[in-house]
Amino acid sequence: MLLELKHVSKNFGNITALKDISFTVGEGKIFGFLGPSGSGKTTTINIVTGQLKPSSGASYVLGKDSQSIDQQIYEQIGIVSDRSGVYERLNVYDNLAVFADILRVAKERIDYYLAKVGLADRKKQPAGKLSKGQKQRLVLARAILHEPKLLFLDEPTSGLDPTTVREIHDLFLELKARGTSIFLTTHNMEEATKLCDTLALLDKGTIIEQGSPREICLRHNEEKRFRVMTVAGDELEFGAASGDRDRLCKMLMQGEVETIHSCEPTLEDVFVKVTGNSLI
Amino acid sequence: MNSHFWRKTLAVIKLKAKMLAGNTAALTGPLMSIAATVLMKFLYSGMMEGLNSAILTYVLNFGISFNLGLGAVMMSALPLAEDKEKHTLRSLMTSSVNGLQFFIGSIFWPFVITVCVNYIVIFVSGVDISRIDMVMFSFLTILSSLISCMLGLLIGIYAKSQVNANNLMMPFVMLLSLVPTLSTMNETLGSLSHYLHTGIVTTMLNCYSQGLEFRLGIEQALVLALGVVGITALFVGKYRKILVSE
Repeated sequence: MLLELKHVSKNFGNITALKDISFTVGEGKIFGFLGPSGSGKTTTINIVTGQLKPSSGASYVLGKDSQSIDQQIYEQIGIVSDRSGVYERLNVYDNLAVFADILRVAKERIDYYLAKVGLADRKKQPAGKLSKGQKQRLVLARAILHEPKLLFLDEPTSGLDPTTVREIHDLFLELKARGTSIFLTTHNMEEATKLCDTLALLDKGTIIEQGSPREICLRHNEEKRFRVMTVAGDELEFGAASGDRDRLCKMLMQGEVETIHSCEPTLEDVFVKVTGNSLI
Repeated sequence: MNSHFWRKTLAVIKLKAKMLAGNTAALTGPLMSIAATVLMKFLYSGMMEGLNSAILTYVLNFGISFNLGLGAVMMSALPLAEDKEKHTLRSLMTSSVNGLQFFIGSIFWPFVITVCVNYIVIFVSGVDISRIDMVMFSFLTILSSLISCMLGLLIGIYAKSQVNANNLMMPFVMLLSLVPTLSTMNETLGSLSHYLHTGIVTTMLNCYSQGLEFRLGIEQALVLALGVVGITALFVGKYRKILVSE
């Protein structure tokens, strides 16, 4: 396992930020931490990357205790968080060149990743003149420049426009295909569903559900409802009761059905159902 | 220390050169030291009796104290405080740059500039160089430059922002610059000056102005050694604590 948390808890004074968190992330997998603001996502990233001490429990990154992460481990991981800064007086290219020197990365890769995050045309621009979203992309380019084994992404697409988000998602999937494992925190349900192999729903520092997005949704699909659009253009909903089933079969056999969809709950529905709160 | 160590250190040195070149606030200190020496020489020009007069040495001492007490501290403290404020220090830390690499990389340029300014100030002050033991002068000013730069880094690493660094710096600047300069005017300041590295430099220059030989005493050597070792230990310890919060 590239990342492992065992019964991690974190208290800030009387406030419990994390309570008995356990999970593992395997090679080439994307693990998502889905929860609203203040649920403990960033605290978890800070603990596993050795930037915060847990109150109890242990976490391991690439087999090493997070509390004693050394340079060799940092060379193999990438971190994107709101605490990742850029050198505002340096231009975009130089910002990456510094880290290319530190991490023994060929300079040609800078241009490749600048293009990937959509900053190729801004390489000579001072980083201080970039918009918030562009700075975020620069931080992302820096985090993946050395093609790390494990990438920590704390809300990486928050505040970005939809087109850029799609490009960044494609980049994550490309990295995953090349064997990079990703630990992703987000409050965006669609992002989690699209990208994550496994995810944990986090609420007030506690994991309330864990599994693949499909598993989680199906686990809460008690009603098993179907939405049908008829050839005539009417929208109908059917439940699992025998009367509904018979009626649906009859419509299918008579060719009256244009489209049919299952109505299993979304991750947000599950979250609202379990916690009574929304994801935002 | 292997090649990886020096590669990362060199990368930080290159980075710091670029950052310092654009940081006019940090570069003001050493430039002010030269400007202040020129100004002092101009102000006292009417009182001079010869090139090796006490006034000329006072002017030189003023410039060097200013450079060691203000220039070096400012050049080291402000860029580091900026790194903390903008979260770039954390980015370096989580990109495998360790405390010692960052320390060497950050101190390199402020140290080189401070040492150069110390020599420039000799020429600007107009002191007769033949009266100065250049080996002792070089040894003491280089060591003092190192201590001042290290102190600046220590202030920078404890500061939360550049404004905070400026505030934290002021008492040290007053102590290191003014106490040695005014040490001959007040007995208490004179005693205090013995325990400051800038004060030891002043004592050396006073000896040369009187045509005396200067020898480093055990007490003075201890002050310098404690400065180097103590500040390095405090810095490396604090560097690790910055990354890991409780």
